Amino acid sequence: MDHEAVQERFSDYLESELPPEEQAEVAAHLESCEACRNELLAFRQTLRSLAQLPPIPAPEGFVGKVQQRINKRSRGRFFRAERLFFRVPFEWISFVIIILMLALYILLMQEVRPLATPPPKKAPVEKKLPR
Amino acid sequence: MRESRLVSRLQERDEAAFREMVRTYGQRVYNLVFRMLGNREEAEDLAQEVFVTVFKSIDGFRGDSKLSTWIYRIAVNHCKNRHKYLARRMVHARAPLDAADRDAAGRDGGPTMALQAQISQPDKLLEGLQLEEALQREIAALDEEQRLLIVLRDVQGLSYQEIASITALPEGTVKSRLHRARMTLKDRLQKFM
Repeated sequence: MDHEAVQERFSDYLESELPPEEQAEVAAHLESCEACRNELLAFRQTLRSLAQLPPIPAPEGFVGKVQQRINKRSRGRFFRAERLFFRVPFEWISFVIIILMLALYILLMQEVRPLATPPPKKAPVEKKLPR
Repeated sequence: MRESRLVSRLQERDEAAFREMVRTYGQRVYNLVFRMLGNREEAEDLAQEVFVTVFKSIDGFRGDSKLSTWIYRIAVNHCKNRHKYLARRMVHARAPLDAADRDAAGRDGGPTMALQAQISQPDKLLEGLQLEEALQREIAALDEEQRLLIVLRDVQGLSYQEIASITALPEGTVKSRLHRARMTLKDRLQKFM
């Protein structure tokens, strides 16, 4: 097996994908050939560096951004609940204000009602007719 | 949650299931897209698009492959389309890992720290960073197919079977083309080793 044939098999050799006799042939060549040994070293180092590349973390809030995009594209059909967190919930605020005003009105009405009742009528004084 | 259950819930447009799916696969998709485009902003935008497509097209997933393989396939198609689009617009600049990327990667004891944890001396640390930048630059300089194979196999660690399914190439072709890509990368990186 010549240098080129050996180097063509580096990937398979390192991943033990070669048939046993080819695996042995490559190993025998490497034993006796310093140039191919150095090539294999560099090849192996390249693979190791690739495997050690740090994963880049997904941007912050990635899930939320995807949801917002779907919400926008679906014109609010999906991920509506998430949207509520990003804006002032005016409908809930107005509902609470209405309830409070109603309660205040009822309270005031209860306090005002006793004053509105007319005072009890005095029994009419009978005039004594002159005899 | 089992994958089939997750898929049925996704097909029912279950929003909690969708969130879970994005949390599970978001990082991997983002990394693939970033390594393919070499640009953080483009990668973020494209990774979001991938999940929008997943959400829209989940009814078409028949379970012939793993869900992750199917998502990767969508991501790869998006990358190819984006490449064409950027080439047309001629604004494609494949930036190496810049300082912002490194900072982001290193936050919370992030992966940059993990990679460099083994390098104790400052000059070795610098060498490590230089090698990382050189690697990203040389990956970006490969042609699109070689880059994809390197990223899927050697960076993300997918099996040949999965890669064959994602790229629609026979396994033998994947192996031979990947080997050529590795040899090219080795030759280009020799001066940094």
